Amino acid sequence: MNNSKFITNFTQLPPNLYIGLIIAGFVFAVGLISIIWTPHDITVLNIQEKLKPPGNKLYFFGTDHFGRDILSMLMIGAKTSLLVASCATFLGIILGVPLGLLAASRSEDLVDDIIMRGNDLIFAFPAIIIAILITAILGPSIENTIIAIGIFNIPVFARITRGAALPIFTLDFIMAARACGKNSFQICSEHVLPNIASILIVQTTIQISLGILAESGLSYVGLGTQPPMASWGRMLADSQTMISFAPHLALAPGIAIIVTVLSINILGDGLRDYLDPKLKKNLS
Amino acid sequence: MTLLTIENLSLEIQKKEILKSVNLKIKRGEIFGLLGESGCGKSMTAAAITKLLPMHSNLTGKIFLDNENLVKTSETNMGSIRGKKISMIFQEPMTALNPLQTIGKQISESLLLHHNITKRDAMEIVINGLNEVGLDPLIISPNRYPYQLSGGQRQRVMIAMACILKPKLIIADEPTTALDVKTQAEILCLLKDLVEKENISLLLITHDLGVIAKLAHKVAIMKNGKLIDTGETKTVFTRLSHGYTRKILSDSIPKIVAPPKISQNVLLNVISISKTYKRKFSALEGKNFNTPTLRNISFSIRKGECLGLVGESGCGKSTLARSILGLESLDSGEINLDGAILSFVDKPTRDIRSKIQIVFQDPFSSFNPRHQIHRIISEPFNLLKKKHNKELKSKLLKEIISAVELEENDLKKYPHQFSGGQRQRIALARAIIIRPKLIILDEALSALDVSLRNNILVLLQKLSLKFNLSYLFISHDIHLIKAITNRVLIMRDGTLIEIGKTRKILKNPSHPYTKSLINATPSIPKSWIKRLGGKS
Amino acid sequence: MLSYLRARLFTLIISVLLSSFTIFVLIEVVPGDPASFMLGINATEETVESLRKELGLDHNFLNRYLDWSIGMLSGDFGISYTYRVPVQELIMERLKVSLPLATLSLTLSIFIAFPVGMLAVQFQGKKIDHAIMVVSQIGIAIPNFWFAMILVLIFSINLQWFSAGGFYGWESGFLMGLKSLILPAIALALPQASILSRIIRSAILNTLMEDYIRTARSKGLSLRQVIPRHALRNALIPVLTILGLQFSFLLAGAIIIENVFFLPGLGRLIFQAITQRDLIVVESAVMLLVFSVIMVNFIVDLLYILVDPRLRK
Repeated sequence: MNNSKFITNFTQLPPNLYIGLIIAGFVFAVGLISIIWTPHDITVLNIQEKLKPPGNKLYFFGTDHFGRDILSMLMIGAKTSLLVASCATFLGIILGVPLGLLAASRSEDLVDDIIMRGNDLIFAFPAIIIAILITAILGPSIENTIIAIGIFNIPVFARITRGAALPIFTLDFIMAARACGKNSFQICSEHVLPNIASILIVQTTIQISLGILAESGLSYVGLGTQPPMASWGRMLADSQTMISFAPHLALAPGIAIIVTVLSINILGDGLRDYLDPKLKKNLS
Repeated sequence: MTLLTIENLSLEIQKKEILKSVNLKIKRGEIFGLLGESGCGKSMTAAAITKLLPMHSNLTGKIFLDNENLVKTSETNMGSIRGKKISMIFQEPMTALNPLQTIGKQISESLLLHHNITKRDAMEIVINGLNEVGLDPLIISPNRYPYQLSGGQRQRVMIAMACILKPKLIIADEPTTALDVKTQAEILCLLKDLVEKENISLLLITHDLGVIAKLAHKVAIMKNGKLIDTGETKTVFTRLSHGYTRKILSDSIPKIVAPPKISQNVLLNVISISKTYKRKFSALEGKNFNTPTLRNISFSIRKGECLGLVGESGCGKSTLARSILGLESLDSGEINLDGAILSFVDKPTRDIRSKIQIVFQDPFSSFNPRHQIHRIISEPFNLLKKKHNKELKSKLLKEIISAVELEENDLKKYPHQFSGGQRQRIALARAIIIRPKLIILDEALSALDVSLRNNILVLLQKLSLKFNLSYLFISHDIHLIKAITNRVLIMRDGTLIEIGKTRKILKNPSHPYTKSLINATPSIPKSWIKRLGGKS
Repeated sequence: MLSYLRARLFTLIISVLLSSFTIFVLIEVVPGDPASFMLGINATEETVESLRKELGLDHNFLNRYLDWSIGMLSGDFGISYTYRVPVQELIMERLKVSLPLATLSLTLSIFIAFPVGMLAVQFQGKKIDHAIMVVSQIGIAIPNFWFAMILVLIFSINLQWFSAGGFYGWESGFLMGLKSLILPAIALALPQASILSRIIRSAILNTLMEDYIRTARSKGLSLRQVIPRHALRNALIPVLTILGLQFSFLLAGAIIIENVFFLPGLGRLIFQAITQRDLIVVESAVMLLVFSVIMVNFIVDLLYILVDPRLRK
């Protein structure tokens, strides 16, 4: 009986949740596998094998101008992308969410103003400008890419948390909790966070997909991941001069980016459909 | 002289039956009341007549307006009927007007849409229309935006908009529910005068029997999408031929449960407290606007007493409630509970706080939707110095859930699994689980359907006796105040203007404001009540 | 309205002050000695010392900040170390590319997004709507620089309609100049338009659920009449907010796109300056970009007044 209940619930999940989960999960798995195994070693240059077209027996997606295996590079690129985007999003959450909660809980005094004006200030620095400033001083590296994108994520999460938490704070059960002597921390963790979690989860998927796009852009202009580490953005930068005679070099990483970002966005839409309280009522 | 005839009207929305074979007739110039509890299908009847239905609805039956069947007519034709022959007035004056357009433009819109006239001519008619609804165009210019008007004024604009083309039928869906008592009385008067003058039929949809008694020539009572009883208003409520009609009438009269005898010992003493609500500081806006919300308020509550607090929205009732809970820092004054100082400027101790709890108006926002009932009810344990062990906790939980007449297995459910009345019982359980001395009931019965109110009133009385509770009963409803309180405070603009025995004040109000408040409250004719008493 | 204006102006000034201070601290204080940083390890003690003088590093940090910010206000951005010309001249030259590119792509994305978003609303739930949602979902996922490369592959290399990169300069005629900006502008605009059209669609659909739409319908307006009269302007408020935020993405995108097309814009200038360690140029150019984001958001705040009468009180 339990089993059948599980199955009915399972089929009621929105289809985009499945599709997104399967594709994004695949990319994630590929990235994980690349840590222990790739078809070829991409740190070894093999000029004899350079610019092989796709469909080759040894090199499924062909090779680049140094004779490196494109498939292996794509796999490592998946790892880089997801690592940078997830870490940057995590940075945005652990700093942005508490700030947003603080602003919402103190919406009647100066604290809110200060936090929100600070947010506006960070918003004025696009991620690439932060990356430029950081690289100008510290030089390009994967950690600096994470910091640059992460800083940009902080005000995003602060703003969305505050916006979602403000209406919750006006509800009677918050006042009831206060009348029960609960302090601000307890109120936020027991009453506010659980009720805005779905919005934050959906925003997380959005920021991860934006992070993947940002990472590829930064790597493309040389501010992100540095060789010999592979990244989709770098692969695109390398392919640019050869695009007229080896377009597969540009197509493969481009499609990898699109598929990954698309799957995460679809996953986000699916989560929104699933977690939306209006729809949830019908499900339960 | 029949204007509107509805025959066998049924409505399904997403395969769910909303209206079941409804029949009714409205004559020209008649005020026809449609009475029912929330969710009974009254608003959907209005939507069906104008055919502004949600997606996936299936409407069958006949609606004749002057021999034209609206069910069969095309959407284009409906467009020329809406606004011109049938117009509507909605409940929420705050959201029913477009915030970005002037009221003049919004009123003239249907004129320009249905008639071929110039904007200048239209504006002249608009100015006339504003005059007719009691808005002097010299003071309330048509160039104003909705945000520059009060709730009552906005509702007048809605009425002007509905009347501007002299339609044959106006459908008013709970037109005064969102308004204060006095504004409600004014708006109802205005509506009545206008439809009489222009010989317009009015379909008045409401849950309030008092409103029906005051206005409607004829009434239809609706329950679960069906018409239960219909006829001349007076006949329906004196004949009382249907059980449901009788129930609605008896439910609409709050049961008197005020404790007859109360002790002389004072429980809560409020001594001249004042509070000025400071607007958030901003260098941006320059000066601070400080409006005093509580001015020099003093009163006391005795043990076992139920004290009423009456006032219109924004008079400071809720601030007073929060102050007594110790959630608001005061500018001056003192609050004593059982001899201990509760709040002045510092935060009160948990021990004192545990003696006061609150029940809110809205049963839907009172609970965290993600917590189970047992977790919700045990939240006040947080105030206790000594933490209870598990067994004691579950024993207390079981005790309290049966005290509010709910089941033990309800403890494992979530709030959304309960109806409004059950939720207020849960709120009461949460309030009394740590055995407080005083409970603040902040409009606790106002959001409930009348059929549930009397049960909760009786429960309140039982609990008061069982747990030795005193109540501060905040309400805008004079009838409820009369039913449950011993003494009453009348509050206006942050000051107390009258204190005394409830019966005395309601009979002989000394302050003109109290007088007007009592007069404005729609009440049920004595003759009806007598019939009810006589038959049962 | 005055209090609203004052509040926005106050925010504007604070933002400019704080952001300029942040940039200054990051570039002139964090690296330690900017002079030796700029010259690298091979520099002699003498050259470092003379650069220090030139940069005014013998003064204290607050004075330098004041000099720099007051200089910028009066249009003096300092002298580039590598090019030996006033920085403002360099920047002005680059703005002739960057400014038209940003304007062109912003206009393009707005002119695509509005009709598409409205079309999706008109056909909500129908095939056209679904198609628009799918295409825009893909549009969001496409990195603009990759899209730019594909455009080059198709239109420059295969069809040879446009040159693959570079800028003819406005001297060779307005149309020639415009021609070299068309592909970059399209590459920038399409992903932006995808996001914007979705926002417009959902903003209008949300507005259509408001009570006052029901009021308007009850006056006899059809669904088609209601959208332009009551929904569009009200939906504009959230759309404006997003548009303001989008500008920052547009700017970031433009910096990258300039690299794809080898356009001599502000972004390329910054990259060259970074590789040449010319901190004076980096500092001023970054400040200018940040300032433009702040200004655009200020303008959006002013546009709210036009849309929403409640702010005019």
